[in-house]
Amino acid sequence: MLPLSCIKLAFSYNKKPLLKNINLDFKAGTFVGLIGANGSGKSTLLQLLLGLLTPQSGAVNLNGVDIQTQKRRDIAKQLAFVPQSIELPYAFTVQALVAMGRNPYLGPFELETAEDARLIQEAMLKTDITHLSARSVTTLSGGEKQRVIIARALAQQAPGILLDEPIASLDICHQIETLQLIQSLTQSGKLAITALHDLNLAASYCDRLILLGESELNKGSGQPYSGRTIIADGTPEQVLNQENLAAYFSINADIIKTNDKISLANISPVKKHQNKEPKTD
Amino acid sequence: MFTNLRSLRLVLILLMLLVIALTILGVLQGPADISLSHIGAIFKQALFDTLNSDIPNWQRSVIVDIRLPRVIIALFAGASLALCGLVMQGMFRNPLASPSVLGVSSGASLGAVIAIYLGFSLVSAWAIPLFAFIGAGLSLSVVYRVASSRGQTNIATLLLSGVAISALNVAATSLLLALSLSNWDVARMIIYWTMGGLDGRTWDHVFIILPIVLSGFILLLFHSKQLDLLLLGEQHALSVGVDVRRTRRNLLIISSAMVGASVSVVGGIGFIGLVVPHILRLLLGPSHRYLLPACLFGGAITLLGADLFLNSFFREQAIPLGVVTAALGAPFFLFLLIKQRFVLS
Amino acid sequence: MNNLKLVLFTLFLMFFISLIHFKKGALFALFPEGNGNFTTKIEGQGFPKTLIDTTGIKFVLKKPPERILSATLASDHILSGLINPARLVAVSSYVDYPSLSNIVGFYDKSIDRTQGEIESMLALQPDLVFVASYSNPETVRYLLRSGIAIVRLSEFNSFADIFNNIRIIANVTDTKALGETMIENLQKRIDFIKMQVKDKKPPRVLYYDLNGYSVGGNSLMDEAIQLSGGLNVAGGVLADGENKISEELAISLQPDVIVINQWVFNQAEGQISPLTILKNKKAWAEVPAVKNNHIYAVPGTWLRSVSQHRIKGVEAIAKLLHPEIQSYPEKSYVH
Repeated sequence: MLPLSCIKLAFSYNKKPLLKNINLDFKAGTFVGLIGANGSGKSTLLQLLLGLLTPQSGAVNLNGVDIQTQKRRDIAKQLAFVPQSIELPYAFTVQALVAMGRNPYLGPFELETAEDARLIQEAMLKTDITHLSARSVTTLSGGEKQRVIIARALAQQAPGILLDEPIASLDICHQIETLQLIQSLTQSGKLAITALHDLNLAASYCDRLILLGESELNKGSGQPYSGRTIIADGTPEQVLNQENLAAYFSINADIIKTNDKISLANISPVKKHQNKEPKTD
Repeated sequence: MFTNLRSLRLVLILLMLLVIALTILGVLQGPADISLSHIGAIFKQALFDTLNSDIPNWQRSVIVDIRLPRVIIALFAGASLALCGLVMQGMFRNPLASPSVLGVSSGASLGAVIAIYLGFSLVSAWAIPLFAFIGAGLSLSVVYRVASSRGQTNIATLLLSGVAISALNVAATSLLLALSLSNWDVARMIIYWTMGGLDGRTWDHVFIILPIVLSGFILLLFHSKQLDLLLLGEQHALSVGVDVRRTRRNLLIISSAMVGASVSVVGGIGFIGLVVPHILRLLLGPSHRYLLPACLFGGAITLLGADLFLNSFFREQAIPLGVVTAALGAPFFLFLLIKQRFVLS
Repeated sequence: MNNLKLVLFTLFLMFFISLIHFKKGALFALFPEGNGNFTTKIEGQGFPKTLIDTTGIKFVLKKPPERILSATLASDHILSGLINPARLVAVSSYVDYPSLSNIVGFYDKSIDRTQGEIESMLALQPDLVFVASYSNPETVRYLLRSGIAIVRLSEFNSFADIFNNIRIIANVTDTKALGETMIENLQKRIDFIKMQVKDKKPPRVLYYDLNGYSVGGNSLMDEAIQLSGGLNVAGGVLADGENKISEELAISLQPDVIVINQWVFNQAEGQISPLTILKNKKAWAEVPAVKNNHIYAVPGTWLRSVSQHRIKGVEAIAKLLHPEIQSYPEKSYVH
C-alpha cells in the first residue's frame, strides 16, 4: 500500500510563489491526470510529490512519513518517475538504461540477477522497445527515448509511478499504447499520476483529474499574486465543464458523453476582447 | 568501439601490459649508464637479499632510490589525473571538464606554493600535499556552486567559472612569488616547484601519492554505478534512488584529494584528465565499471610515456613535463570544442 | 567596400612599419639590438669622457659624476669599495636583502633605494646610472632616450670579467687608483690560493642547487672551483653556465665534495638547512661526498656575488677542499 498525500503544500522559487494550499490524497489503483495551462505548476507539483523539491510550507507524506526525511533509495522503491527532459548524450545501450531502473534493489557491486533480467525484459516488452535493446540511446528518436525511460520506470517495480508529459513526443499510436499501458498498471493496483496536455486523452483514460490554476479569489481582486492552487479535483466530467474550460484553457467546446466517458469536440478559442460588431445596416 | 564484454576485457588487459612495459622501460632508461645485467642483479638483490659485490653501490641507489620511485610516481600521478578527469566529466555531465580546465590543478598549485612560502614545506613532507588538497577542494567547490543551479550545469558557465578560478589562482601564485623575491632562496623554490616534473622525487613522495590514489580508486569503484546514473541527469538519478547530493559531495572530496596528491608530487600537469577519459570513453563506452580501471591504466601510461619521451629526446633542455601534455592535449581540446559546437547548435 | 578598407589598412600598417624602421632611435625608442657584449665602452683618459653604448648612442661625461644612481647589485658592491657614498643618489633595493647582499647596512638609510621604476629614477636627477645586461630592458630604453649617461655591465663569467667591471666603474667615477688597488689585492689573494694548491691533487667537486641545478664551464662557479684547486665534475657534462642536472646524473658523477648554497632566511632560528636535506636523501647515500661527510654549505651571498666579495667564496671553498692551506693575512681589505 502506498498512501501518498500532501497537506497545505506551498512552493515558491526565488521569492516568486508558484503553488499554494495544495491538499491532496492519493489512493492505489487510480489513474490521476494533472491538467492546467502552461506554467500552471504541474511539473513543480510532481517534483514536490517525489521530494525532489523542498516546499516552503506544508509537507508531502509517503507512507505516513514526511518524504523529505526518507532516503532516496527507499523512495525509489515506492515511487518511479518519468521526467520531462530526456537528454541522453552518452552511448549507453537501451538494455543498460532500462536496467538502471533496478538500481534501488542492487548494491554497489551486485550484478543483476535472473529475476532482475526478467523484469527488465518485461518492461521492454510492454513499451515495445525489445527490438532496440542493443542499440545505443544516442541513435534513438525522441519518441523511442521516451519509451525507454518509461520502461526504466516500469522496471523499477514501484507501486506508484509519476510521469511528466510522457507522451509529448510520441506518435499517436504510441501515445495510445502508453496510456493503455498506464491504465492497465493502475487497474492491477498501481497509482499513476500523469501531467497531460491533451484534454481529450486525459478525459478518456484518467479516473481522476486535478486542475491547477490561479484561483478565482485572487483574479482581479487586487491581492498580491500567491501562486496556483487546485481549482477542481474529481472525475473528468466534474472537472471539464464549460466554465473551467473557458477560464483556465481559454476554449469553448461541446462536451460529449459516450459510455460514461466524456470527450470534447468543436474546440474553439475564447475571444479575449469582445469588440462590438460593426453596425451593418 | 568495443562494446562486447570480451573486447572490453581485452582492451583492459592490453592497457595493463602497456603499463608493465613502460615501467620496465622507465627503470632501464636514464642519464646514468647502467647495464641490463646490473639492473637485473640489483633487483635480485632487493628481492632475494642476495649480495652481489660487483655492482657499485651508487648504481643500486640510482635504480632503487631514483628510477623506481620516479616511475611509480609517474604511474600513480597520471592515473590520479585521469581518474579525476573521468569523475569530473561524470559529475558535470560534460566531456570538457577536467582538473586543469576547471581550475582545480591551479588551486592545488596555489595551495602548495602557500605551503612553501610560509615555510611549512620544510617542516613536514605532508605540508605540501595537505595544502594542495585544500586548494584543490576550494577551487572545485567554488566552480561547482557557481555552475550548478537546480541540478543543471550550464556548459558555458562551467568553463567560464573554471577560467575565472584558474586566473585567480594563477594571479595569487604570482603575487606570492613577487612577495617572496626579497628572500631569494624561497623565490627559487617556488619558481622551480611550479615548473613541475619528476626530478628529485623520492620514496617519501611515493608514500604520499600511492595510498591516496589507490584508496581513491577503490572508493570510486564503489561509486561506479552512481557515476553511470549521474550521467543521465540529476532528476533521473534521483528518481532511481541515487542520493545525488551526498554522492556529489563524496566525489568532490575524493577527486580533490587525488588532484591535491598528484599536483603536490609532480606539479601542475594539464590535459591528462581531459584527453585520457575522453579517448577511453570513445573506445569502451560510458560504463564506469570499465572506464575506471581503464583510466587508471591510461593515465599512468600517458604520464610515464610523456616523461620517458622527454628524457630520451630532450634531456638537456629543462622542458617542464606539463609542456608535453599540453602540446598534445591543447589541440585535442580544440577538436573537442569544435565537435561539441555542432552538437550544441 | 570591405576590400578597399582592408587595402587601406594594410598600406597604413606598412607605412607605419617603415616609419618606425627608418626613424628608430630618433623618433621611436627602439634601438638596434647589438648582440653579445653590451658593455659600455669608455673613451678619454681624463674628463670629459665619452661613453659609447652598444646601440651606438654616445654620452659625454664632462666631469666626475656626483649624483650616481646604482641600479644593480653588482655596481652597488663595487662602488662600496671605490667611492664616497655621498656621491650616490640611490642604490638598488636588493642591497638590503640578506639573502642577496654582502653589504647589508653599509649604505645609510638616507640614500634612496630604487626598484628600477623609471619615474622615481628620473626624479632623482642622476648624472650617471649603472645598469646591467639583466636590467629591465624597458628601463634601459627609457634611460637611453632621456639623455642621461649610463654605463652598462654585461659580462659576469669570470674574475677577469669582475676586474674589467671594476676598471670600468673606477674609470668613470674617477677612482682609477683605488680600482687598481682593489684588483691588485684580489689578484694577490687569488694567487695566494693558486700557489698553495698548485701541486695538490684536485678533488672532484660538484656544485649543487637543491632545485636540481649545477654549473658547466665558462661560469664564475666553475672558475671558483678550479681556482680553489678542485675539479668541477659537471664541467664536462653540462653546457656552459648554470644548467639543470638530473639527480641521477649528479649521483653518477660520484663527486668527492659537494658545495651548496647556504640559506639565509631561516638559519637564525636554527631550522633545517639544505645541508641536512641533502644528507637525508637516501638516493645520495652512496655518493663519496656524502659518505665521507664532505658536503659543505657556503653562504649564498658569497657564491652568488659578482663583485669583489666573490673572493670570500673562493677562499671558503679552497679551505674546504684543502683544509691545510693558510688564509690570506687579513689586512682589512674588502668590506
